[in-house]
Amino acid sequence: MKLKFRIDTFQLYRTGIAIGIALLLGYIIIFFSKIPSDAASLWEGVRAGFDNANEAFKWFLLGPIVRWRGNEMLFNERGAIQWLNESVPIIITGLAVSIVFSAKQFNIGAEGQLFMGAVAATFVAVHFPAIPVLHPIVVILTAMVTGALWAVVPALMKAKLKASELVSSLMMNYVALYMGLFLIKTFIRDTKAGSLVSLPFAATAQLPFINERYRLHIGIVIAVVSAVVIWWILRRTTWGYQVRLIGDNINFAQYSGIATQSVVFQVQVASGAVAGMAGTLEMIGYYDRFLWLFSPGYGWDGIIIATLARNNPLFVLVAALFFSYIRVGAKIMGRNTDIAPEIVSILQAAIILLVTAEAFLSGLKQRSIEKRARKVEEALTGREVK
Amino acid sequence: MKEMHSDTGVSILEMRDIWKVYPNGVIANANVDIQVRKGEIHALLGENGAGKTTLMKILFGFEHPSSGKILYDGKEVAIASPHKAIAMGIGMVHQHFMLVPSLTVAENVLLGMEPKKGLSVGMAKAFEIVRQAGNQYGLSVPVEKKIEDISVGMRQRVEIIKTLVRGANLIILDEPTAVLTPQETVELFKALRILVDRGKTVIFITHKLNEVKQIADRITVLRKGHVVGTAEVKDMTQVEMSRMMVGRDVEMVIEKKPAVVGPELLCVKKLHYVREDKVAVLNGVSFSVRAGEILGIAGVEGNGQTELVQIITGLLSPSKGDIAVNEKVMRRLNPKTARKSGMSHIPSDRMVRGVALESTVEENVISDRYFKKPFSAYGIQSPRKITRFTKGLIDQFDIRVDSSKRSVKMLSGGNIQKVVVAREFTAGAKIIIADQPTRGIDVGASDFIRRQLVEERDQGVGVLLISADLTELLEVSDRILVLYRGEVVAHFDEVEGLTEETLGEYMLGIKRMSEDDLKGYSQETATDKEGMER
Repeated sequence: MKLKFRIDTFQLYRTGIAIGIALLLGYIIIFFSKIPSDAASLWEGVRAGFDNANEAFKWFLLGPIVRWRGNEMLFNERGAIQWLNESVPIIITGLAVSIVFSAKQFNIGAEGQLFMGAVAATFVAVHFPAIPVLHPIVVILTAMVTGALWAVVPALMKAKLKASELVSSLMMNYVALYMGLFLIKTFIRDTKAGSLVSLPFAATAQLPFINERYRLHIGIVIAVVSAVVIWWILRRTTWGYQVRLIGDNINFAQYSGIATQSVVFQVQVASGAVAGMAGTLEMIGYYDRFLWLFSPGYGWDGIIIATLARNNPLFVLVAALFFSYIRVGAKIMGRNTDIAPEIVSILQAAIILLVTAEAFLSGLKQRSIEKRARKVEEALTGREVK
Repeated sequence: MKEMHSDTGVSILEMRDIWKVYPNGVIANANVDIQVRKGEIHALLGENGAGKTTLMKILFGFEHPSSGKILYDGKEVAIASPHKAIAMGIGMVHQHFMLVPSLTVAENVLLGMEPKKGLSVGMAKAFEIVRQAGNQYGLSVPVEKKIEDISVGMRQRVEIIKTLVRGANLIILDEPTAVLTPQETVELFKALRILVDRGKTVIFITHKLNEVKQIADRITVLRKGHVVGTAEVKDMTQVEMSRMMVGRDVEMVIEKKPAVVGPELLCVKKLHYVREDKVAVLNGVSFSVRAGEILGIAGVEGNGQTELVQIITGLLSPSKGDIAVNEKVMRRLNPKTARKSGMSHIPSDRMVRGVALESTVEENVISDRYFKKPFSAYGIQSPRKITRFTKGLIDQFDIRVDSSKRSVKMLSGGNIQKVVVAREFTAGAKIIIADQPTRGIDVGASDFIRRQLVEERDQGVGVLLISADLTELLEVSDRILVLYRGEVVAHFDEVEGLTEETLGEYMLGIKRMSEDDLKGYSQETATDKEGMER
């Protein structure tokens, strides 16, 4: 039975509808929270609610790329650059997670991997001989190697002891956080600074700028290139083929003669290496020293983004840019209205829930499949079908 | 008897204009109408993949129809779940039994409805209930024995009693004879007759024509999801039925040249395997496969075949014993080394191991050779060459698919198996391990695969064929071994003149050949045992 049916289009619609519903939800929440309690009449209150919600949504949806001078709309350069810069670490973690997800393995250790990567990179950024061009490369490589090594621990435990990577990689995040902070505090703390930060990086460690005024660094270029390269590796190389086959059916991969255990190990380590550079790019691009006191959460964002992108590295790019856009939008909204930018978390949660909920709109899909199937059947048998 | 039923013709069940479209777009049932009369044995006949099982799953509430009406006892009903179906008086015996192996027969039958005696289950009463229920319908079962200790035929009886105890009036049997030996089949048919004599109605799913002729009153034939027709069995010949089922005349005989046997390719030496639960599944199995012959292995499922194949193909390590390929004992046998040594493997569980469902046909046919030229060079795949190669296979093996980039889950069962076979037959193997290569696929595809096996053998390949289908074994094999409880109990050098009944006797353990007859095929002889102890 021939059925030309693009299920991917359906996924696209579904994601679009999920985003639409989430935005509507956000609008409704803002609307209700913005009805003034001292409104003269109910009608007045509702109108004020709408006005406020519209105002908030204007900032939220357009803020990152538009600024207003009077009624004139201008390109918001600062906002757009903030949007791109903020998307860099979550593109990278999204890629890292999508690599392991492609093999249907789990990595919730990206957070720890990027944290340790950044800590190790800090030492190199501060102390490595100040050779231009070479310096940032060495810093990034250090971060990647550290991230990979950090991923080796749960991967080895999985391969040798059959310990669930879910638990061990999660635990490694805490080890990374406290050990990392300890290392920074003990060996490389800037005692002249008021808070816990590292010594400033050597000037040569700085990533080149595309726009120096608002500090748009080439991290975004690295992220885009990484996405394309990882897509190519997964789609076009024999290694990527093994990874995807394992992800589809590990029993089949083993039966076919693929060394599944070793590929699974490699996947975890590769993912760790990618995750390792996530925080470092931001640090040597936008900032000039190590200044995290907490885990930045990019690893968790990576899981969300990889899920939303269905593990396709190119979609990771789109999903991460989308998330960073609504986050920047929420911040701008927060600055211009009195609505807490944290509302964006509600939207994120709603989108993820709807996109991952298999049954969401599946009836619609089933109906359209049935309709098509009947059409094919009619064409084949020449009989009218209800 | 028969006349009386057809004359009364009161229908217990009617299904009208049933449609079922699966989420992958496959139409399992289209415009299906079926009417079953009270007190008849109604055979639902059709090839594998014709939609018989789906239709019955809809009736039993396992699947929901896309559209259509069901009338039971004249009333329109909606069957939301098996629970509902059971409450209405419909029972189903599935192809794969749904029994708890570690519980007794009585416990299995009464699961969820045990007679209570204080807080504990009244065992004596339970035994009595089940014994009575069985005797009433001529189905005696050892109520106190555990399921794992009784034969497949017995287990099936337990399943039938299970439905009866739950008040079933309409009993659906899904290919009940597929797992039975000829002797057990006769017993089953006797029991079915008693059931209908006592007023029950039976729907019997099958694709075996001789069985229909033997047992059924009426048939409804399904083909590709459509009803081809309903008829009285007595008015039909087997040829007519087969034409309805397949849509053309099938020529089933495979022409076979005499085997030209070459050197020994695969040698299995005193293989033992003890499962995790300490059950010895293989007890010193030895045999060899030579170039240019097909060695068939017969046996009731669960007598060690699965483990034997897994050990030979490197998926499982034996407890004891050796596998030699080309007279070289394989030290580190795993799927990779097995394939390297020239073995290919058609697995019995094709959905679990034979294919990756979400992947494309292309990705599935290169899984054992993706790293070789021309499929890749320097670790980079060559998509165009892979596509060209796959298109060649699609033509050569007549795989019905509109694009080599279609994911395998969109294919029918027979075509999925052709994907597996296409890969394994083109691997350049010297030894082919074919484990149930035609199970659950349509006649056309089965015939094709059997012919391919014979052709490979004529090319000098050694074939090991494990099959539950005795007709197939007798038709294709050059020699046959019978496996019973992990031992080789019979060996036939000559297949000519061998009957299914004879094989059945050995498969059931009724007969076994003497050590002398078995020559090298038995478990260790006395001297071997001494040797091992030393």
